[in-house]
Amino acid sequence: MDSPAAVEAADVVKVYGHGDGAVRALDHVSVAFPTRRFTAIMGPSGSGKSTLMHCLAGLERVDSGQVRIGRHEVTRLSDAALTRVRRDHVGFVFQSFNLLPTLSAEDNILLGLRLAGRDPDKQWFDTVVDVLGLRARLGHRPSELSGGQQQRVACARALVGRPDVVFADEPTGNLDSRSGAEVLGFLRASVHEFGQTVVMVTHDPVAASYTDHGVLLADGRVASHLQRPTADAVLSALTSLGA
Amino acid sequence: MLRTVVAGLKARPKRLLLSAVAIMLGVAFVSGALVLADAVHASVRAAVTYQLRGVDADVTVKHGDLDDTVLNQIRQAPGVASAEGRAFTPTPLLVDGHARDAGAIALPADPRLRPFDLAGGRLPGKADEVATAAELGYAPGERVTVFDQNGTQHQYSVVGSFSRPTDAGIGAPQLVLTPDAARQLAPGTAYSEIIARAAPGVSQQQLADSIARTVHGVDVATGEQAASQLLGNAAPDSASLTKFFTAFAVLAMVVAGLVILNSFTILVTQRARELALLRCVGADRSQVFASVLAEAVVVGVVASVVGLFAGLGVAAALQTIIGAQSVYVPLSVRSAVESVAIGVLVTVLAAAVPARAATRVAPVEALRTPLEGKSTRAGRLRVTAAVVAFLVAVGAGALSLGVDTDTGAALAIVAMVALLLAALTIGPVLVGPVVRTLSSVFAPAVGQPAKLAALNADRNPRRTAASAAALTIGLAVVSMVTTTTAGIEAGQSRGLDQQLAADFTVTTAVVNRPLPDNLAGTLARVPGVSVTAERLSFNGDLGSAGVYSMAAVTGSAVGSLLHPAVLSGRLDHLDVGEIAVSKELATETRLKVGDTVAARTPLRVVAVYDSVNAPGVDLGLALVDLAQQQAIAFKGEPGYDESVLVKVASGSAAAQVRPVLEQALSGAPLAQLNTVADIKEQMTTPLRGTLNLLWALTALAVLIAFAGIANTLWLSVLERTRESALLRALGLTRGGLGATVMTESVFVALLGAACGLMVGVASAWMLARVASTDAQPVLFTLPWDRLGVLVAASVLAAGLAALIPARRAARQSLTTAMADR
Repeated sequence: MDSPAAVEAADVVKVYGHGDGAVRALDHVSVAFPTRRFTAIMGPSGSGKSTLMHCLAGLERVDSGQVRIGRHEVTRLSDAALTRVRRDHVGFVFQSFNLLPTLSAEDNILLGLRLAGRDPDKQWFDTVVDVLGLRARLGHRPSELSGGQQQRVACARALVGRPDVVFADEPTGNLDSRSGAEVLGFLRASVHEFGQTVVMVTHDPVAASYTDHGVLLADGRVASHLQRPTADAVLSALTSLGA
Repeated sequence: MLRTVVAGLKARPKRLLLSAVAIMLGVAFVSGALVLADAVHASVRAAVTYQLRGVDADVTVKHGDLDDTVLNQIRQAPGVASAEGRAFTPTPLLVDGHARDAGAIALPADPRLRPFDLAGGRLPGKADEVATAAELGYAPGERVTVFDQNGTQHQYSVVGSFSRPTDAGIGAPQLVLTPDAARQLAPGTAYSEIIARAAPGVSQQQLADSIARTVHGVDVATGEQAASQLLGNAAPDSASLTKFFTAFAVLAMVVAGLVILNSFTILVTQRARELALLRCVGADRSQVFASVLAEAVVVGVVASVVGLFAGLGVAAALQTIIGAQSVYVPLSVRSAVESVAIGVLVTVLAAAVPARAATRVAPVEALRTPLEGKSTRAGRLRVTAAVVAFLVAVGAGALSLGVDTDTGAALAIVAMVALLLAALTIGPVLVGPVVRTLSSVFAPAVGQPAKLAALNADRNPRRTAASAAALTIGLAVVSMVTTTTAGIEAGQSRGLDQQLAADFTVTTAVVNRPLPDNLAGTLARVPGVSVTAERLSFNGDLGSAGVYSMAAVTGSAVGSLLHPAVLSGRLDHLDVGEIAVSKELATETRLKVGDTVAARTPLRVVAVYDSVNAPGVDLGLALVDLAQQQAIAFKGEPGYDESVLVKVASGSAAAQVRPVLEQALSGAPLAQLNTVADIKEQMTTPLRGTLNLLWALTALAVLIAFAGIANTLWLSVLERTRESALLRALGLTRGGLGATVMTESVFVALLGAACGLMVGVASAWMLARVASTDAQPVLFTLPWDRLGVLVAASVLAAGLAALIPARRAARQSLTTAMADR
């Protein structure tokens, strides 16, 4: 790893439930995600990949271990402080888009900045909007946009605040293959051309092939790392895990 | 199908909880009103039963007197075991230097004909002994002072106390004296009735017949007949009270119905997928309809039964508010069945509209992803309907100003209802602009939550408007009543100022007790007093025109101390041989200025006037010079409700003269000195009491409205779980999310309150214009303080109503909420 990590998990344990019913979703996971990289977290269902992302993003508390986002150690922060870290340093893209139906595309994009009370960087906003081809759609409500367009609005929302890291949770899961390819291409471009850091959770080998680096999870542990994964390499790695 | 209903209810108990609370409160009100009606009857019946217990026959006369001769005749009649004469003697009591109304009866010799029970001590045996009603709180050994008809004081020592039910206005006594003492207090008083008890083996009817045969010229009723007659006399009062409460029960049910309608609409929208799934697996439309309705029935029954019992508490509380001495909560089967039936019916009717909407859910919707908050925009039809209602309101309002008071009032009510309908119809259209304005007002202080709150409120304007509508109705009523009351108070105050130029009045504390002789003359000599006048009420015989309640005043004071609004003629003074008639009497008898009234002495009508009725300055239906009173008094009866008007000399201050006047009155405990401010206070006291009661009643309807707002918010918060989680992920703090929900609640409340206040105040303005007359003006004044309290209370209540939904929103786990589905 040549550059310092944008987000890092150290010896993270996350358990759901109590007693006999307890499920160890993350079992002493240590992993670092370097800046200016596009990383995929992969694994079969129940491997803990979504849980890892939620813990990394500060959406969920860990039971032990540390999570660092940028310069912030978040495991011991109060809810309000954690909210501020998320607001200022993390961007999100979800599988089901998660746009506010009441807001226009432009308002959705600027929502995070407005919640933080920050002024948008006009030039950066224009760049993001133009790269994503959303210029003509800014005044539209989510219900007036296609799935691919909605996900591009979500990408713009995640990037417009120049966060330390963008987490993308199965961003192509609800899209057709062409729209999916567009979104993945954009995420890759945002890393390579604009210097962002993107961490994507996916179980789709094709989606993983857009990334620079793959982390494979199985049974709550890091099973292996893949450099510059191809779809075939991911598939065989997943198959070897018994997925 | 039944199983899915039960499963649905089990799965969503909290979602239905608040709708159930709304119905519960509504039913509590209905059953409270019904129980109260029964309670008022029960208390009257108890009082009547006590008053006539042991009485087998009751003898009264229409003409002539019931005296000891008649009593002895009755005692001789066959079948009579015992008979007693009963007279209620007014015996004002001296309490803390002031006279207080009280009445006495003579102790009946037959213990079984006593309308009271000994509670402590013993009954009076000597002429200077007395037993007092337990509620007066005298202990044996204390001394009480009583006034007789001439104002002379008599002292008695208390030897015992007795108990009896609440005096329901049928003349139950406060004092029991020996027959000798009673005769001394009121010599020559005839009995108002003679009661008799039958000998063993003689029925009430046989006794009554026997007495009727023995004594002629009297009316004989059996004990039962007398009781039902007495009950009938007391009934109208309780009937009007029941009507009054029923009106508010209807209001409460309408508001509760709105809440149910709204919450079932939301529930059906949220369950569209589930209902579609039911359709997919083969349920037909009627089954879907029935399943939604069945849910409403269950909610209605459970809530109504709880509400029924809460109603018993409401009935008890209302009796306390209206000042009943003993509280009754009789629960009749009829009241119980009616309350529950009304509750269930309203619930089912209100749920029928959303249930029908549920049948229109297409099966294919089960397969679609959930539609995010469908927004329904207001149609042109709605605006048209609102405009029509508004025009009707304006039209009726305009017409009401030009016609007589009765027609005007009817038109004003039509205008009021139309205005309310217009406000409720236009609600959904107003939501958007109103919340956007509120948002820009609140944004500097609250920040982003204000903007998000406005967006959420405007997302489904119909839902927001329906939550607000419940509040609109309650606040329209309460602000209308409050503003009108303030207008009447201000009007009475102005009317009194115009009519009365005196600084003080001296009135008698006990209506039919006269003031000391020549009190006016005595007071006129008090330093600092410029002029005094006497006034009294009496029944005047105007010959062929009839007998009316009139007032007699020192003639020279008319036009100076007293100047009622003169409608025609002149009223600068009043001489012997002259009469001024009120507007009412002029209308009834068609008398006009210049006519001569053929009373015992002819009277020339010099003026038609209109006046304010206030304690001590009542001008009755006609006005004559004091010197004329004896000449035209009906049957030569004396006057009553005497008063003296006192005007302070121009160089003196009323406050300085007051102690001197009090000094001059110290020898007359029956005389009460009042300032003009005191009179105004006495005029407004009953009005204030009514207003307080109305506030208490409307508070319940408003409470239901807030249960509705909380309910809508709760359901909306559940619906927006994912969005809330998203906002939290993007950086909205827990507090910020809570603030968003609270701000939305406050916006809804402000919208509802503003519409309600506008309708209420506009209606009050209309009423003021319609009901106002020259002498009794009803002013249109805005009681800013009380209306301000209403708005502040609404905002506060809105914040409280949002507490639980806001907590729910803020507590939601971020990741579960965001997971797909």
